[in-house]
Amino acid sequence: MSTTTDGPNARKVATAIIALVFVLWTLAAVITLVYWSGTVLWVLGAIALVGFIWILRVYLRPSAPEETPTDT
Amino acid sequence: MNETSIEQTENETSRLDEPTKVTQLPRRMFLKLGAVGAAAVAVGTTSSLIVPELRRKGLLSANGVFDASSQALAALVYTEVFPTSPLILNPFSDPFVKPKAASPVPYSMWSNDWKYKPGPGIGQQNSYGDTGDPTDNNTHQRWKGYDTDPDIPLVYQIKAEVDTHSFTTSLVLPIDKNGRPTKSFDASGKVYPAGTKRKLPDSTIYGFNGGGDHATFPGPMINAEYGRPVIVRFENHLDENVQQLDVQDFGAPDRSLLIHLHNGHTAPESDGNPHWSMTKGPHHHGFRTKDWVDQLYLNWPAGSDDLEKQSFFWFHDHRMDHTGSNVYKGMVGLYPIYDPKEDLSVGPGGLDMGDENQGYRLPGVRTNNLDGSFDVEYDVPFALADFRLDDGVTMHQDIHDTQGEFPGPNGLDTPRTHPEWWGKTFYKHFPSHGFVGDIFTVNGVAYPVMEVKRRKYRFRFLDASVSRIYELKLMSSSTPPKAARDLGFTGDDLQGQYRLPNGQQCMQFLQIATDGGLIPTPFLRDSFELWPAKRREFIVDFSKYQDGTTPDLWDEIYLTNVMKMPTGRMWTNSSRSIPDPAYKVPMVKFVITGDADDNSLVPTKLRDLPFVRQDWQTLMNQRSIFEVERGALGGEIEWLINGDQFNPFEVATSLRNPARKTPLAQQKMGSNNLWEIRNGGGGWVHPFHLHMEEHRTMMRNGKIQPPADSGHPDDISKEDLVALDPGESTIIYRQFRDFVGPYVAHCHNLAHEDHAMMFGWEIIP
Amino acid sequence: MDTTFTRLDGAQRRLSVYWLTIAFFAVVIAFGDGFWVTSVQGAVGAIERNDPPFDRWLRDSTLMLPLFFLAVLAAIVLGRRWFGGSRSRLLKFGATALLMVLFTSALAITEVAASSAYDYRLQSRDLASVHAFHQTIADTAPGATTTTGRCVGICAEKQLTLHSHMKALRIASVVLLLSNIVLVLWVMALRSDRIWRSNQVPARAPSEAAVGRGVTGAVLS
Repeated sequence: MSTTTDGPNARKVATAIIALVFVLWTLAAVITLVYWSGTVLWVLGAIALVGFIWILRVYLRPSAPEETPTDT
Repeated sequence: MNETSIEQTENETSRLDEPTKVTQLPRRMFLKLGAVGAAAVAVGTTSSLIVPELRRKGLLSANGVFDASSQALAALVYTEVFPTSPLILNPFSDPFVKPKAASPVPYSMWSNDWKYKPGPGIGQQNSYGDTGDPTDNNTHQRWKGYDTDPDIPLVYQIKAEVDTHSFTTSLVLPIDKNGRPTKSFDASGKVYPAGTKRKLPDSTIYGFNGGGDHATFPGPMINAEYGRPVIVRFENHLDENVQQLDVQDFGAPDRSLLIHLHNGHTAPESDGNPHWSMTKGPHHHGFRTKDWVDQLYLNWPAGSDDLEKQSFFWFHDHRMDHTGSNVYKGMVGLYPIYDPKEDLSVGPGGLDMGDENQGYRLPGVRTNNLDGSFDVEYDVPFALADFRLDDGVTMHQDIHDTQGEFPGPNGLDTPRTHPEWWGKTFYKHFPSHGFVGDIFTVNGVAYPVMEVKRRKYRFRFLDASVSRIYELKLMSSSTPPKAARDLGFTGDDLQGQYRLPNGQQCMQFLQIATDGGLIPTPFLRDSFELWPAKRREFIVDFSKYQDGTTPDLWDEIYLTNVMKMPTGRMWTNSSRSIPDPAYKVPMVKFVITGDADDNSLVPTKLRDLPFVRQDWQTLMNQRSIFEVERGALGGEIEWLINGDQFNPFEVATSLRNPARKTPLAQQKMGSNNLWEIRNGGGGWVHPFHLHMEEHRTMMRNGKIQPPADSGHPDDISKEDLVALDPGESTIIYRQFRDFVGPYVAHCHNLAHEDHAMMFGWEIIP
Repeated sequence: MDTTFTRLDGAQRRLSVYWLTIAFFAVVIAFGDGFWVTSVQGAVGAIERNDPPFDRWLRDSTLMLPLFFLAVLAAIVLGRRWFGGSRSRLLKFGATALLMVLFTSALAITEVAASSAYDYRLQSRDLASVHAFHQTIADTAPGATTTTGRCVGICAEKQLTLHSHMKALRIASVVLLLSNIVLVLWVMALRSDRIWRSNQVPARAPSEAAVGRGVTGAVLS
């Protein structure tokens, strides 16, 4: 493996790990705030609603017409 | 982003690097140094201002800093506003009131005329009678202490009645919190302009009537003796209110009561505690109107041990949730107890009979009355209590307003002002600040004067205040007392109303007793602290000053309070803290009026302390631990023990002890144990009281006693009240003898007790 | 996976901020505001949450740290976007500082509000059990009329509980704003040269980065 690419790869991995930790930590903070405020059900309901709408949009999206077979 | 802005940026950067003309420092460096310097100054200034204050409050710790901040925030959130009482213009003109001994009811009267006679039979203990349920405990579980006790006790009848009380005959000047004259009112709604001198209206009390014409504050004084049991029939007549007095907005709203003899060795049915009253007897917070209860005071030391004898009890209301307001409203009585037992190794006659020719020869000249009572001259109780009088403009506001307990006219609820109550006692439940008054009374009189002879006296001090702690000294002064406002004081510094600017200590106290009675070795003190419900007894010799000179006729000596306590949390200044040389508040003026025979002696040895098992340290791991804490609930501060409010239906559970157990607060009869009482911090002091028996303080803050902690010299004696400074912890040795049933332990800052700082415990067979 | 790593790295570069500066801001403000959050909880909070306050402060402030980090980052990025082109240094720094104060204070106030809401729920639950053996309006003075249809008893105590929380929140909001102004300005003064990084500076190899920092310093883009 080339040494000129080791450094950037290590930095990328480090950045990714830091980002992952950060995201999880942020989630923990947000969940705590939501729990404290007693809005857990509201938040879960909102997530469920958004998810539901997203699923509907995916399934209601017009699909591409099928290719008609050509005579060869 | 364009090159121009980059160029600008680089120019700015270079400008940042340019030294300033004055300092020759780059601006960037200047900013950094400035920030560091500002931080250093801020930290230094804050430390010098705050650190001493935190140390004084016992909050100089990582947690303490937060507690101090929470305290400050709580003071802003919870509205607890006190009025400023009108200034008494002629202090030390009303005579000191020494209660006369109450008279027992003649046997012929109660045995013939009373429908419900006192007795040991089933259901005879109270008006609820025999309910058929043996657990109801309406029966005296023990009728005698000593076998040699008479079969028939002395019987007293005390009626709780609505009546009036006057604290002073002096004219008063209504003032505001800055000490300036202000307007005042009367019951008819008339407004008096600022500067008008007034006569105070009588305050309404729930007082005790011991057979006289009316109820008094303080109530009757029962002079009792060991070996002579007493039944006190307390009758609740608070619904009668024959004078149709306005009972205002404090006191138990249903006028129930529950009387506790503090700290008699008493069976639970006669103890007057809410753990009993809610689970047995009346099954209520107290005895309702028209109820009666026979409290049997056996006048018998725990375990029949003479060394457990005490000397000064008092009885007061203990109604759940309204103890403070009921006590403040007047339900207080005194109960000195004497010891007729002879010990020839000490001297002939009863050891402590109130006769200075017998036994210990403590000051006292006894007169036996025909009705079976007796009085003792030169043996004087001092019941200290502080009050606030309504100014007519302060909002009446506390948590109880939400309970519909005191609806005003047309059903309107408080909070509101009450100009019609101007000059009458003001009380609200203030659990955050505690309740401290600005008028200091002794035996119900504000700033009394007492004539004394040049001889020794026995003074029995009791702190009957809701929250205030006193530190007392004997002082003389070259100038008379001056009104605090005339000296330029305002706000909380007006508490006590008067100062003794040139006061100097002139006499000492010879301490002879604490809560638990006579101590082994009397010792001299320049001053002493008196915490709520604590009792201290001293010999004061008015025949000579501490420098050995003799007082002249008409010399004046003042009993002076030198502890400044603007709120019920703790003191700000005292001798063992940061003394305030300007805070000398005279409470009683003694005037030397002549000589009198004095056959008393200065004792060098009194009563030994009772036995404590030598292996008490083996109990350490199994001890029960109770920590007092602070929380918030229902829009007010609540006081907790081990995280819980008082539950009258259950006994408390200890915190985990070193043996990793959490025992219930339940002890077998005849057992002994160590209990740890901890002050959970927050900067409050707590006078923690335990019913039923006195305890011994074995350790304070991890150190074995004796020697006693310098702040608490009375730890070496037996007591019923642990004085806890902020953050302190004590380990006490307790015994649980002679009775079974439910009791309580609680803070005797009654603002805390009423807001749940109490726990139930019990003795089981 | 490699694509993800590359994207993350690219995003980090595009933001072009001094991460250490942001972290420093976040730590100072999170723990500074955490002091007031803990103090409020100690003043009006539920009995069940009566932990030693120092431990609670450490725990809760650490937990909220990433949110403060995001608030500071947002303030700096928005400050650069909206005011970066201005000639006035005072406007650039001042506006960014103001954004930072507003964002972090809003977050801290949200934290206090959420914590108070939790306390209120715990206290409301306690009131019901405690009220069972305390004074009720049925036990009023002889002859007094009870008030029907009015909020008394537990209802009134809940109202008072809520009122005390609202009052504490109002006081805390003011205190938080004021203390954040002080903290933000203080950190800004300390890190005045490390607030923004130009986003036009090309990506450098690690060996050149140290040289680059020494040459350009804080570049306002």
